[in-house]
Amino acid sequence: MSTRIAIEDFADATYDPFTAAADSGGESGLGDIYPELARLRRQAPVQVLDIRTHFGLHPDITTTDMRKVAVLGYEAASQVLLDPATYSNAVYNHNLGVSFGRSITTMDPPEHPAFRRAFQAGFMKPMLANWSETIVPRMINRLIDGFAQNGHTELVGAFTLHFPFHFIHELMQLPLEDRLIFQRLAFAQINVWFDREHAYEAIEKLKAYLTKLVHARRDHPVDDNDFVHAVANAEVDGKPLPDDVAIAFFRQLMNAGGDTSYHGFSSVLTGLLSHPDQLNAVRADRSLVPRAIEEGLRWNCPVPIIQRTPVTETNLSGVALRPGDRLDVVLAAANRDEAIYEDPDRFDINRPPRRHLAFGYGAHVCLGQHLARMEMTVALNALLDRLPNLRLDPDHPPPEIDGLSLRGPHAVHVCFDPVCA
Amino acid sequence: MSRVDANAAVQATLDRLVAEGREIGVQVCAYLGKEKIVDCWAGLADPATRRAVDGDTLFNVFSVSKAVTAVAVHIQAERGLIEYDAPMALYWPEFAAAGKEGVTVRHVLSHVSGVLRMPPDVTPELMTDWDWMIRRIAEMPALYPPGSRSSYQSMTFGWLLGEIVRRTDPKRRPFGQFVKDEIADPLGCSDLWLGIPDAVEPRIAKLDEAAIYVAPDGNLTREATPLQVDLMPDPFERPYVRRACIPAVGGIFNARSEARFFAMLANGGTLGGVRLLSDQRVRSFAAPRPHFEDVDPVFFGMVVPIGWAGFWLGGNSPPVSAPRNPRALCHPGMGGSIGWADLDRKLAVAFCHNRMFDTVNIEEDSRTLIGDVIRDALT
Repeated sequence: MSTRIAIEDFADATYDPFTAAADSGGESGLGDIYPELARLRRQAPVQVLDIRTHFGLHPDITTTDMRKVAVLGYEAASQVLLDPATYSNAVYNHNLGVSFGRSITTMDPPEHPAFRRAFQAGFMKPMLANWSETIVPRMINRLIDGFAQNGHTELVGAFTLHFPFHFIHELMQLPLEDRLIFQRLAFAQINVWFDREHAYEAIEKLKAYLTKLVHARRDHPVDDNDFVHAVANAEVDGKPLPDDVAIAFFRQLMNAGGDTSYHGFSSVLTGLLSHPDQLNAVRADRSLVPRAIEEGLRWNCPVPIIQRTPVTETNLSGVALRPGDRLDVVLAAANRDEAIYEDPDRFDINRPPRRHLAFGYGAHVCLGQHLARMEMTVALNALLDRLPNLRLDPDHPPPEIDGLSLRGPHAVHVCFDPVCA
Repeated sequence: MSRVDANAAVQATLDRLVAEGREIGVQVCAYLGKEKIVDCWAGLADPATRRAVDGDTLFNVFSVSKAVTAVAVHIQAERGLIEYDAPMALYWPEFAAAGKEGVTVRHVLSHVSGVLRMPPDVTPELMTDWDWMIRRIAEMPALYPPGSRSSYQSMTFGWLLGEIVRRTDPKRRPFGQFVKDEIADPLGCSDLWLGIPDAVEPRIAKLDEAAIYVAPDGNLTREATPLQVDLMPDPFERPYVRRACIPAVGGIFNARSEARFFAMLANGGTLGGVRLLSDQRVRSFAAPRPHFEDVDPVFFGMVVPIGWAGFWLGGNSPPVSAPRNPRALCHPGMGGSIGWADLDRKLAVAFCHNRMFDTVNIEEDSRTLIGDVIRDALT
């Protein structure tokens, strides 16, 4: 491929998509939401309530006509997520469907399983095993190289904000010069719920870029492992994947696989660094790494709320639901349901294993959950291996986790014994 | 070509109309006999939020509602509860006031009653008050003697006929409930609303009226549709207007349900094992009304091809050129929607959209283009 595919930045180059949700959306300052979530859950695990405005977020301008119902209990949340025939993802036509187009997030059965299967193949063990030994350690070590000699760093800005995105860049084999703009557009395109102007600009520009990229790679793979080529030529029930669905997959990838891992892993690190005894245990016994990751994601899940809408009148925990309701399934509340987890607010990697809902549950459970776990496992091991005596930097304030659309810490200041290159 | 091709051909056409900016969001559904042969959509339900149209999106269809209201009257006639040539006042005594005792049900169905004026003191709020509308229409005089000339009852058509259905209904149901119980539910039309429930509101497409000519005040058009209740996004997107039963123009349908309704007509009064009307009765609807050649003062002095039974008939130009059959039963709606049934072909088509525009030439009529695409695919 010799033709250069252009990616266009925002007309206003000073626009900062990385802080927009915190500043304009009202996400910033939503720190310890859990006492209020617990109070609400005890009051009623399902209730008519706009959980987002309840916490002071900008009202969601994409679903103004819908009645809002909050699902706060673990059992009720599981019931909703396990019943896609009753609880539809069509609610996402109002928001994420606008951002990404016809992605599997907006689909219901019978369409959804067929398309999901087509993409699932790309995230199976052989692919993961290959990536975990090639792309992932390479880009993680490259990032750590940047600060390993300093003795201190701020891990969000220097590491977690980058590693899942760099993986996606590598996976898609994007030209280096396109990557920052790609990330800027991806961050802004999901802000349709409070900032249409920048979101639509981002949607149009990213869609234009990815449409050209998918079309070019469909016929001309960069090499034998071209992931874009593989997806562009995937089949659903023996027929080629429709063009719009293939493009929507890549429009979604940065947010589905980037924002989430970035926020989630930042919270895992916060949990461990704030509990030095548990961090030391993990450092000494790496078989604890997976448990630390699962507990960090339960304790502060990166996507606190997912949405559904009932297709028929139904009853959930005593609340009469009807089509047109926006169900906010509050994963963050379900993951701290005291009926399921003992002392749920405590970060404890030794708690008995029990399914958490950080990746969702049921038919739409995160397609990339195993990839995310693999990335985080490699990242955590690499940080522990390469940064001796890693600990919170006492000269800086401790990390604070906040947010309700996406949740994580903005800064994790650490120090460690510097390592000479 | 096969029926699969009809669907593909319509989809390609809708995609093109959206790409060219001629439509914003659009749905088409069609039945051939009892079989659904087209179920397509394209574009945006709401350009502001960029919500896409899907198969369930709902649209304001305006006067297409009149076809459903007319069928409610014919159902009562089928049951012997209404006689077409009886005076309206037989069922609705208060209506005889101010010299209207001679107006018959048939006059109203044929748009020749002379009772075309909306109460001049109407407001969007009062329009949603059924009892107020009925009282005011009953006490006002007609503008022309009954049966004397074409005088399109843009809005009054609905309350006039809805009230006699209500008064002849043994259960005395509100008219919107009657339509749901006796037409929509039996036919399996889940989205044929005259007055929406809260639950469906998020599915309604937003109207775009930028291309619509707004007629000035001080003429008969504005007697029939006063500016304060004009057939426009405001007031028809106000939440309380969406929830009210405004039977001539307040319908909020989607193409799937509207097409099933027209398919019932195309199949001679029956669909899915449910018969609403006799075949003979439905076939009679294609007869022209008296004053068929009249110019209509409400319609800016145009000749409008209207049958006796509350339907428009197929014509040579928009808004009813889509069937290309003068015997087809149609109803067009403000801004360019339509439903039609061609009994000769047993073909029924519903076209819903949200970019309202005035169609003058047949070449720019999306509805006719779609009709041609479907007919071409079937031959």
